[in-house]
Amino acid sequence: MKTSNKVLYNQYIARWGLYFMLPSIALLFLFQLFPIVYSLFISFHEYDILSPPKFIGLKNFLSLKNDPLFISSVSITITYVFYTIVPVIGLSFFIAWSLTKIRNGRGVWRSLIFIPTILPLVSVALVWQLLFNFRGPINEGLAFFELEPISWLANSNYAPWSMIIMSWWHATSYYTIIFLAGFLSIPRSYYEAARVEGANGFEVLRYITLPLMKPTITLVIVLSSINGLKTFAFQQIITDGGPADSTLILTLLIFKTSFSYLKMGLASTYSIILFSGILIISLIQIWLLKDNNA
Amino acid sequence: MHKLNIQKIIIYIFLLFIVILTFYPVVWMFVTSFRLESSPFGKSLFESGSFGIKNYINSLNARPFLLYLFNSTFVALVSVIITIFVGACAGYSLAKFKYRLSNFFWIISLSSIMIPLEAIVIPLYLEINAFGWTNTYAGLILPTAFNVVAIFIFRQSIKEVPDELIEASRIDGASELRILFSVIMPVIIPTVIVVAVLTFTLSWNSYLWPLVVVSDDELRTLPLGMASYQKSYGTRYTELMAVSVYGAIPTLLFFIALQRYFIESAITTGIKG
Repeated sequence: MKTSNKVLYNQYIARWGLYFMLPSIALLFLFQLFPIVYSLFISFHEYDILSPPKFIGLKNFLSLKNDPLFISSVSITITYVFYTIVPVIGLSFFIAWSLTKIRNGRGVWRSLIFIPTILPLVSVALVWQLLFNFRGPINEGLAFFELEPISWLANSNYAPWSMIIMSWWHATSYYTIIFLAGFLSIPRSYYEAARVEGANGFEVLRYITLPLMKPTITLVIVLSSINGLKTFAFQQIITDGGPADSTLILTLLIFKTSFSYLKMGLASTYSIILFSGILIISLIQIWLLKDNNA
Repeated sequence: MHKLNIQKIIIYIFLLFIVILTFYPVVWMFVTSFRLESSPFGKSLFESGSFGIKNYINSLNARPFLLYLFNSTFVALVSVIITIFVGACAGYSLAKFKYRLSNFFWIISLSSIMIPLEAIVIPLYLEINAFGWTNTYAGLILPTAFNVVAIFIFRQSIKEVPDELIEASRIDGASELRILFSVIMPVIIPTVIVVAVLTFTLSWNSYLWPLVVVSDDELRTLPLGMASYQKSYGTRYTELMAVSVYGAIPTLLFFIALQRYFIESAITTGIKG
């Protein structure tokens, strides 16, 4: 009697566990796993939505190496991500460290610095578009230091830099919060022990803070690279990839190739490349974090 | 001691400088939105000029911003409800139920972290198009309703709810849904708020997916409405800033009310997402 009750109970648990998981699994399959497989399928085809897909094998993939728009877009994207994340990581690390040094009203400073993350992307884009205007505040600032005005958004040499500068402002805010959480999770006692041992500020940083912050630093590098690769709204709204395709990052190239030129197959091929990039970074992260635990 | 104070002063000056840099664009947006001339340039920030709310009225007349605001709010609220329901169910299942597939489910859920929307937007659009869901609320909401971060957060906090509480309710004859929503949920309210804030912000800010799936003006969300305003009235600069403020005010108010949860949800997203 007792055993059969136990069996019934286990069956009941197994059944309900499954039921509770079903809505999630359905959404996951329908809107994430199926699309990624379907994406691979489309990338082997020529498909313009209007007529049925035509199988062309690896042609889309093989065409990539002779596709100047794709090659320049990859290089624009990598440049953008690199010049965005390096200063942003340094700056946000330092700001977060500074925040740990103040006792009074840390919460208020933190909230103030968090504001760019809160603002809607479109608001941010619209404001920065005006800040970068030829007669706008940034050039006025330059004029104050007796520097020549720059046509930030209209010149293909400067437009990519405009996007990068803007992302410094936008992204620093978010990673500061992540770093601060990391700093605050370091137990106080480590610092007290160091002080007892007579370690100076630099030694504390070198032997205590940095090693303990390694997981957070890894996380921020990975997160900021992935978020950089995924950037879309700023470029789409402010420059629409221009001038002369100088800010045409990969996400925007995918968007235009598919929804403006209706080349779904080619655009899916680009997507697969973007997906592979993100996958590689995620796998590196998993590998690094495993290493840390060992 | 003296040296320490100098270090403190330098830190305060540095932080002040950062906060000013952070705030300048935001303040500039607010001030400019009240200028009556259509061009804000050639004037320093608070330089006198004529100020008024004309831009706010004009932009409201040019585009149905209240409708966009309604759409954004509706989509965000429904997303919050769906994500909480689906996420809490999955979190409960993964935290408290032992069955054969649970590990497998957890791993494939985690794998979705590596599939960003940006990489699947084309097949997703084709799929939604095949369902006939373009230009519908369902098309706006459902494809982004699965959120592994929400599942993760629910799983963590439901794990900490004592088994005795759940078993006692089972003995009392409560159904599993009832246990989840009237026994467990009240205990984990802070978690529910974090997930709500997280989902709301994601939905409120989302731009790429609505841009792809909606072309009817009637269904545009606020970000789309704002961007389309810029595409058609791009040179009415001060009005454009009023439009930016329309987008910013709801989130800023929401942030002021729920700061702690905002920051917590941002950190969790970072750490898990």
